[in-house]
Amino acid sequence: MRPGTEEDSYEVFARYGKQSEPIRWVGSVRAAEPTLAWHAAKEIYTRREECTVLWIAKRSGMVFSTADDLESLKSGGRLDYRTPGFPGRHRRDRERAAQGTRTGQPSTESAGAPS
Amino acid sequence: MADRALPRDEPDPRLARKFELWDDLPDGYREEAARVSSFQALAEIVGVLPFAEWIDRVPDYARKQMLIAKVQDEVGHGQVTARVAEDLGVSRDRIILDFVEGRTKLLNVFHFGFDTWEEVGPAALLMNSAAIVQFQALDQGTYLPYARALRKIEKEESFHYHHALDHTHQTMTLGTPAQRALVQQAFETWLPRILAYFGPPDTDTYQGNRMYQFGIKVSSNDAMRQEWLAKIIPVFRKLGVHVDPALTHVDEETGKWWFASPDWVAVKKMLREGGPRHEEWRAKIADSLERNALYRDVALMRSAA
Repeated sequence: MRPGTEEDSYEVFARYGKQSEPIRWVGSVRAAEPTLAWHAAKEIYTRREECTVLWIAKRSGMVFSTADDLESLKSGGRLDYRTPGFPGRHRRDRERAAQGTRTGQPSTESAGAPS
Repeated sequence: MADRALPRDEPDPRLARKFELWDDLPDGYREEAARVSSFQALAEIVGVLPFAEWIDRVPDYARKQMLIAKVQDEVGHGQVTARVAEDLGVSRDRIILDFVEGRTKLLNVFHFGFDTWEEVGPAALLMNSAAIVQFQALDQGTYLPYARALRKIEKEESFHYHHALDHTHQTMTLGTPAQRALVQQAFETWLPRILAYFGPPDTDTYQGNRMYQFGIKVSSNDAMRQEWLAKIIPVFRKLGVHVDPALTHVDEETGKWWFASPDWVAVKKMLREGGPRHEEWRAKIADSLERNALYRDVALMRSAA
C-alpha cells in the first residue's frame, strides 16, 4: 500500500446515466481546496455526459495498492473455499472418500479438480 | 494497407503489454510518456488561440455558442493531458514555461490563424478529422492513463468535427460565390499543412524508434496520412469542394493516395523560426501567465498568496 501524497491533486468519481450504474473513477484534477477541485471536475468531466453523481477525493487522503499487493488482492486462487463451486467439490470429495473406504480403493482425484 | 505493420484487428505484440503509472516501467518509458502527454497538453492550450479570437466576431449566435464550447473543451483537454504529464513529473507550469521561453516547439498547424470566418469551417474540419485519426491510433497505445485521456477527448472532438462540417456545409449551400471561393481556397491552403502535421515520411528505420517500440506511438506517419485522406477527401467532395488531382488523388496502380508532398524544408524552417502567428500566440500565453500569477498562487495556495 502507498498513501497518496500530492496535496493539490484530487481524484474524480462520477456516475453517468442511470442510478443503477456504478460510480466510477474518471480522472484527476489539480486544485488547492476541495470546492475548487469539485468545480474543476464539473467543468472537465461533465461536458457531454448525463452526469448524475460527481465526487472528488483528495489524493493525500487516499491509500493506493501497489504491485506488492497484487497477490493478496487476488482472492480466486488463494481463497477458493469462498467460490460457489467449492461446496459441491467438497461434497463430491467427501463422497468419493467414503466410497474409497467402502471398496478399499483410495480416491484418485485431487481436491481441487474442476467439477 | 502495406504501410501498417499489421491490420487493426490483429493483435500487435508491441501493444500487448499495457502500463499504469505505478507499474515498473521500462527504461526511458516514463520520459517518452511524459513527452507525448505534455506535448499534447501544450497543443490543446495554444491550439485554442486561433479559434478564441473568433468568438467575438462570429456572425451567428448558435455558432458563437458552439465555438465557445469547442474552446472550453480544448482547454479541458489541455487539463486532462497535463494531469497525465504531471503524474509523470512534468508540471503544467513547466509545460507552459518551456513554450513561453522558447524551449518547446509548436505543431505546424498552430503557427497560423484564420483570415476569414469562411476559412474557419474547412480548416477546422481538416484539423479535427486529422486529430481524430491520430487519437484513434494513439488510444490503442500502451500507456493507459494517456489512452484513457484520449478516449475522453475523442467524444468531444467528434462534436467539433460535426460543427466544422455543418459550418462548411452552410457556407457551401447558402453562401455567395465569393464565400464558396474562400472555402475552396481554405481547403487548398490547409490540406498541405495537415499533411505535414502528421510528421515526416516514414524512414526505413521508424520501427526502431523508441516511442514506436514502447507502443506509445502506435501507427506510422504514412499510415495515418493514408487513413486520413481516405476519410476526409470524400467528405470535401460531397461538400462541393473541388479536389485538384494535382493536390491528391488515388493512385490507380497502388490503390493508395498520392499527394503533393509538403515542402519539408519550408515546414522545418517555420518550426524553427516560427510561423506567421507564432510570436503572437507565445506573447499571449506569456501575458496571461503574468496577469494571472496572483490568482494562480491564491488558487493553489502557494507562498505568494
